[in-house]
Amino acid sequence: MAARALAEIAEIQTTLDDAVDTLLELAEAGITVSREAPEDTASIIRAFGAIRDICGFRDLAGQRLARLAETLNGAQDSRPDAALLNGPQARADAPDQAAIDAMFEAADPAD
Amino acid sequence: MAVNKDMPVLVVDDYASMVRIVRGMLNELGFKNIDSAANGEDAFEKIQTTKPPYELILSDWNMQPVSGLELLKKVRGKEETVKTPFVMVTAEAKVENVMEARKAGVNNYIIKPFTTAVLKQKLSTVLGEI
Repeated sequence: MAARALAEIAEIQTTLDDAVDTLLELAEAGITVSREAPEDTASIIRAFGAIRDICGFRDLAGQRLARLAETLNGAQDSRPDAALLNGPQARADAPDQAAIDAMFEAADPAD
Repeated sequence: MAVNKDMPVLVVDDYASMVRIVRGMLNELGFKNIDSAANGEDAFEKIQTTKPPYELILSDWNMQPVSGLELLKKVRGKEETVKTPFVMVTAEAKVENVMEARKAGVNNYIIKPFTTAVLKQKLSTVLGEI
């Protein structure tokens, strides 16, 4: 149980670190364009939009925290679809969107 | 044919900030008529009662008491919604999840976290050029 909890904590830490790095980069880019080209409203809106998009990290961190709490409580999920409720995967194991797209396109829905 | 951006859209997620993010993304893409539900149960209730009917559903997977997959199966089980475009927006990235959703009739599958550009691309695949 401890190993699973520690692995989850490490993933949460990575998620938060990556999100903060990205938020800082996007905020700095927004500040730069606001200062150097304040008339370029499209770029400024894009910068704010990208900051909004990245805020989804909190959902993933929240799912990991919930799983960590379940691990520490020794909770067993008895839902019928429990086998399909995995939540965010470890970074090393997680397929990216391109891999999912390929998988999705290759699959025959009738199978 | 141009996509009708006045179409009623339903965003389903139990994390309120995620609903806010997706709503903001959809607004940025020009969609104006966006509704939301906090889980699959509320969503199905809305889907059955809202008129005019939703023309696009974007749903999270991991929700209580009715998951996104269960919602998808319920939606596909009704004649009126059997063809309603349904996009799963989830952290559930395992092969078996993708296959299960595909088999249940999902139209596309977006992995969290994602950007407005990815959403635009996936919605274009489902609805036509946005």
